[in-house]
Amino acid sequence: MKNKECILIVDDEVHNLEIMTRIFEGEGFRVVTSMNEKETFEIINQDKPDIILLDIVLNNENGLDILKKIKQDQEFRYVYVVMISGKINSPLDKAKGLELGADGYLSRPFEKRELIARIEAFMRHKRTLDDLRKSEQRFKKIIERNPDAILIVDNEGSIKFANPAAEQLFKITVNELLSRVFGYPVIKGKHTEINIVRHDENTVVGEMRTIDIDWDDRETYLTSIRDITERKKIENAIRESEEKMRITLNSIGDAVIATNDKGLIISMNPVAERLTEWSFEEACGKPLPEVFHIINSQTRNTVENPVDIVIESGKIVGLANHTLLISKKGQEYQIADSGAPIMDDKGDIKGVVLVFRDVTSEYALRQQIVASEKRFRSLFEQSGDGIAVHDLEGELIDVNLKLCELIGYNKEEFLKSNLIETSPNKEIIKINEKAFAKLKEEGEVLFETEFQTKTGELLIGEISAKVVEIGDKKLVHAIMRDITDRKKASELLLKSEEEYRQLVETLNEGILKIDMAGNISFVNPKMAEMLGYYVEETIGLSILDIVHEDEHKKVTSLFQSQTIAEHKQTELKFKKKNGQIITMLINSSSIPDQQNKFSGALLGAADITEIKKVQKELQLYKEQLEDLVQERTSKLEEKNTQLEQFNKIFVGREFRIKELRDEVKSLKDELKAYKRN
Amino acid sequence: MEKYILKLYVSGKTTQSEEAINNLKDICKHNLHNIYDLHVVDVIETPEIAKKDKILATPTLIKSLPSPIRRIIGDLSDKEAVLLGLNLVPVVD
Repeated sequence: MKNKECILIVDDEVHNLEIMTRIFEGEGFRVVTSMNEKETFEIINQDKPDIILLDIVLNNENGLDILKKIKQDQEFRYVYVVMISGKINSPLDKAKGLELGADGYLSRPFEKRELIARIEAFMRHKRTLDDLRKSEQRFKKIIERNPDAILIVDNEGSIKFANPAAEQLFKITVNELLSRVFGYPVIKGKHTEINIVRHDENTVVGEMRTIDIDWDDRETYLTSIRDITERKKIENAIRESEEKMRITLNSIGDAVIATNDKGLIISMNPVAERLTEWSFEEACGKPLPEVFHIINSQTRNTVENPVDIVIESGKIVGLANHTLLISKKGQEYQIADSGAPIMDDKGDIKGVVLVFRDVTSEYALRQQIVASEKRFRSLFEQSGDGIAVHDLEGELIDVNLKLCELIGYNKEEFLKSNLIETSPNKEIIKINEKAFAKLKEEGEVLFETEFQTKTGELLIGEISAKVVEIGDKKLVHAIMRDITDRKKASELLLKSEEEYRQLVETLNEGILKIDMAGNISFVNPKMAEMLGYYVEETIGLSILDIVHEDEHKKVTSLFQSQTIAEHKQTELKFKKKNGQIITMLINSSSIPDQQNKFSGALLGAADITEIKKVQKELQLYKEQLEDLVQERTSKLEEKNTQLEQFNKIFVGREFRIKELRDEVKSLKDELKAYKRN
Repeated sequence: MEKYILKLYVSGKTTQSEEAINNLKDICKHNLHNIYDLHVVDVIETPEIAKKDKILATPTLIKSLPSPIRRIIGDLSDKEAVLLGLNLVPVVD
C-alpha cells in the first residue's frame, strides 16, 4: 500500500473523520486523521501526506493558523492544503485562507460524489505541481552546479540571474552581480570571446554564448561564459609551438612530407613543394605515391611506398640507394631520404614523416669519384712499377698487379701478411726496419733492397716510399722498381770504366780534363809527370797555372770562342812546376753535358820538346846545306866559265868537262832532294 | 543632429582589441554620419576607469548619448547586430 496516495484529514469532529475516511479509503486512498495542530505536524513529518484537508474551525484552534505555519515552514511549504469551511464561515475566511497559501477550498456540506471528484481534481493538480516543482529543482540544480557562469540579462543588459559559477568567474557575489549591468549581448547563438575584467589582476578569457529565453514572460537572454584562460594558454602554446615547428620545417634545407596513418599527405614544407613541384594545397589529402613519385634510378622500377614500409615495420627506415624522385613536371632528382613513424602517447602509429633531400649533385660527384677511383686504380694496377700501400706498422692495405707479378705472390697472399714479415730474409728485414725508421722520421725514403720472389729468385728493388695523409690516416705509398737489370748494367759499366781508367793511367800520353772555367778536374799520371807535379797537386789548378805566360792569350781566346772543343791540334808551351818550359802537342775535344752543351774539354798532350829541338837542328843543317849548295853552285858556275874558256882553248879536255858536268848534276839532285824534305 | 558619445572598453593592445576598434570606427563612419565622439579605454592600462564604470568584461561599448544609455558586450563584427544593440537603425546605403 506504499504507493497509495495519502490524505490527511484534520477535523475536530470524529463523525466527520469517520465518514470521510470511509469514502476516501473506498476510493483507494490511504487516510490518516488528526484532531489538533500538534498531531497534524507529527503526521505530516511521518506520513508525508499528499493532500491535507484542513477544517478551518477546530476545537480551541484555528485551521488558518495551522495553514499559516505549514506554508511558512521551509520543509512543508509545498504540501498541498485544501481548506474546508462550514456554514458558519464567512467568505472572508475563505479569502484569508487563499491568501495564506491554501491550494484549494471545499465548502460544506458536500455530496459524496462531488467530494470524490473534487479530491481527484486536487490530486491531479497536486501531481502537476509536484512535477513542475521537481523539474524546477532539476533545472535549478543544473544551473547552479553548472561549471560555466550563467547570467540572465534583460534587454538593457541588467543581470537578472547569476549562478555560483558567475560569482567565481567575476569574483563578485551573486547579489552584487544582480545590481550590475552586464551589457546587451550583441552576438547570439554563437561563441565569441570576451575578457573578464577582474580586480585581482588576473587575465581571464571567457567564451560567451547567448541565447534568447523567456524569463518571467520578458524578453531576456541567457548568457553562459566558460573560463577558457587555460585553454587559451595551451592553444597559444600549441600555436607558438606549431609556428616554431612550421618556421623550422620551412627553413630547414631538407624536404619534409608528413602523412596520416592512411598515407595521405597532411603536411609539406616549401623544399618538398619545390622538389615535388606540388603545392601543399594541391597535395593535401592525396596519397603519398601520387605526389612523391620515386623510382630506382638504375632499373627505373617504381620503389615501394616508404609509408607502407614504415607503417608495417613501425621503425625508422632509410630509402634504398639510387632513388630518383620524379617531380610533377618530370624533373628527376637523385634523393636520399628516411621515413619515421609518428606515434601517439600509446605508441600507435598516427602517420609517417618523410625527410628527403636532393643529392643529385652529390650523387654525380660520387659517380665522378667512382670513375676517378677506377681511373686511378687502373693507373695503379697498370703501373710499370710495383706499388704497395701500407700503414706505418707495415700492415699492407693494397698492392698493385705489377708488384704481385714481380714478387710472385697474389694479392690475397700479400694482404694477409705484414710487409716486414713477407721479407724473406733477416737482412732485408733489417734494411726495411732502417728504412722504416727513416720513413717515420722524415716522411720519405729512397733505398735499395733485395727481394726474394716466391720462386726463390733474388731481385734488386729500388724503393721510393712516402708517407701520405689520406683523410685522418697516415699511409705509406711505396713504389718499387725492379733495378736488377740496371744493377747488372751498371756493374758492367763499372768494369768497363775501370778498364778505361787503367788505360788512361798507363797511357804514355798526358790526359788533362778541364771544366768550363778552365780549372783542372783530372790529370793522368803521365801528364802530372810531364808537368813535374803529383797528380793530387794538379786538381783545382787553372789551365793558366800550367801554361806558359806567352800562351795565356791564346788559351783564353780558345776558351772564349770554345774552339778548344773543336778537335784541334795545337802546340802549346807549358811551364813545369820547376819553371822549365816544355812544348806539347795538344789534341782537344769537348765534353758535352746532358743538354749537349759545352761543359769542359779533354786534352791529350804529347811532349814535343825534343822533336822541336831536332826540327830546329835540321833547319839549321838545311840552311847550312843551302849555303853550301849556293857556294858550290857559284864555284860550279865559275868552273863552268873556266871550262868554257878552257874548251875554247883546249878542246882535248872534253872528257874532263863531261866529268864536271856529271858532278854538277849529282849536286843538283842532292839539292832537290833536300828541298823536298 | 545630436553627437554620439561612445566609450569602448578593451583589454590590452591585442588583435582582438584592434578588431573591435576598427569595426566600431567603420560603423561610426558609415552609420553615425561621422558625428561621434569615440573614447577607447584600455582596462589593463587604466583599471580604475573600468572599476568606476563597473565594467564586467570587454569588449564593452557604452553609448551615453543620445539617451537612453546603452551598454553592449561582445564581438562588434556584426554591424547590424551592433546597431540593433545600440537601438540605432542601420542606414541603408
